[in-house]
Amino acid sequence: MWPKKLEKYRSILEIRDYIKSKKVEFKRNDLRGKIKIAVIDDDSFKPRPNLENYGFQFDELQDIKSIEKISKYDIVICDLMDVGTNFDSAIGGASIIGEIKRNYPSKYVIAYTGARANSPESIAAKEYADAHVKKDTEITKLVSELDEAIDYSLDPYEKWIITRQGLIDLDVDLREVVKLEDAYVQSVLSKDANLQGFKSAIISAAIPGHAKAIAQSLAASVIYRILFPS
Amino acid sequence: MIFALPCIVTRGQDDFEFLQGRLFPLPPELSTNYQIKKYSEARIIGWSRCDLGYWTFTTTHETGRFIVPGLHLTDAERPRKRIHGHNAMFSKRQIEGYTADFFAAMRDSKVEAEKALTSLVHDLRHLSHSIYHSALEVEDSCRNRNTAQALEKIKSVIASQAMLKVRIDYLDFSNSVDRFSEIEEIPVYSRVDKVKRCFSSNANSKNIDLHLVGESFRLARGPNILDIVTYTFVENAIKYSPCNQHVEILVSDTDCATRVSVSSLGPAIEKGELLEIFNNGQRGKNAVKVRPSGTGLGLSVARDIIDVFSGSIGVTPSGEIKNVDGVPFQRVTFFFQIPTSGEDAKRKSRIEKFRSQRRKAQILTT
Repeated sequence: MWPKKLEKYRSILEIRDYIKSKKVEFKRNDLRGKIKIAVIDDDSFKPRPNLENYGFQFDELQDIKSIEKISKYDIVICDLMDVGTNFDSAIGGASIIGEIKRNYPSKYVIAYTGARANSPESIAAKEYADAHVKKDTEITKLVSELDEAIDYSLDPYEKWIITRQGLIDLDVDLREVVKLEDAYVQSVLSKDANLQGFKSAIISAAIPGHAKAIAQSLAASVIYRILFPS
Repeated sequence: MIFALPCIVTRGQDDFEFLQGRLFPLPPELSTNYQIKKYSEARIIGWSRCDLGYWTFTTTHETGRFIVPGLHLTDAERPRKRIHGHNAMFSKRQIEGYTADFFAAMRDSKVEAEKALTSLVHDLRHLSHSIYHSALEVEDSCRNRNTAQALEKIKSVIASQAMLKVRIDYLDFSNSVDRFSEIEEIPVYSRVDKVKRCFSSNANSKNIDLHLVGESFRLARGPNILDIVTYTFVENAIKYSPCNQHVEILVSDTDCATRVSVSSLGPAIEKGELLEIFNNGQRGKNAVKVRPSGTGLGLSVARDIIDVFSGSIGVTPSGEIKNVDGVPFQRVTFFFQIPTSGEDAKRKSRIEKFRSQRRKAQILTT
């Protein structure tokens, strides 16, 4: 039994199966078109026309100077070679991926590369990225990777678990984490597309600025507007 | 591998290799199977002596030990037995210095080889995925019975394959010049035009206006690898140019040569780098800032090829320096000039015929 004071807080476990029950309401093709994917590549994204035929939507960014540029995307595909010159050029795109995961842990990042498996860029990317795809991979595999990314992005449970870990890694007081989790679960259960309750909880939380930014990036995700259309 | 000193390289228990030295061989008295095995079993790292009193230096490398036996040291106790003709006299410092330098050079060469391999895998995979996705687009156009679009997409497949061919030729040439001993008459303008077409899609993706100007019907005599030079120039121009710029390829004839130049806005090349960037492994300071990956091989291979054609190669910066994302950029023109061996008469007459027909048609219209 939990202490009485804790019982009033809602737990993320209450929405663990939320997406499973919800997913049947979405058609795969509809989902693909609803989440825009950012592509960071110095070259044109060759699979784009073929993937658009499958219903995916992309925005191509050649290289980025600050990771804020990808703040509005839930899924990011990042090349490893000849990007990341404004970060750590020794590991190229892997440095961008590392920065994204440090600042927006709930975003799904795919390392997309023609680099050798044992190059410094690939080794570093494997450490940070959620998935690693070779540039010349078959279209069906690429599609299934992107579908997996969308499935993850649409799952409010998974997104909070990752965000919560990010907050814990920053030594955020567990009592504040519990409060934020409560606000998040309440927002999801009340189908609040703007996560207003969660956003208010972030503002009032006594947590460092970096931790707030991590929580805010979760609140800014477009997935809640897809999950809870008005 | 060639070693100056005789040595034994071990790679594990009972796995060793004895290699004779170029500077002096190990005499039979010191290199019986029994002795070699014994040297290979030496566990002492540093200096030790064999039964005849000759010195052995043992050091470790990545996967085992490196042993230099049979040494007569000038700054240590002399061997107990003198072997006629064997005069391997060195100081301890010389031997230790040699092995340290040798392993440093091995490490450097491994790093360089790794870099070149990484670049190769990257380029091949890039071309492979380019061909694959263009082919899928063709398939899609065919399914939709859009023949015009399919034909257009097929051009992309052919262009990517042509780039792959040049990349393979480049690889072949950078490893063995002999492979290209066959001499041909090469129509310079046509080859430049072919390379330009390969890069159309790449240029479009950066909104770069890539255009070819000038005219030449000249032939150049040499191996069929001239494409690599234009390929390197155009590839670099597109790679390093900021978006929305123009890249101009100019082909022109002088009295006895054909000149090809590729002009673009690129990372500014400093005065001291103008010649250096054509050396193997050298890259411009500002180019590295824009593109950290790169082997510095492209221009050096281009220079080697132009040497084979007895031509000249160079780069000329011009215009004002402007700052793009913190890096100085300037208009740079890479050029090569190769001697003329004749004229492509067939192509010339074909084009002249076409032009005359067009003129007639214009007159009739007006």
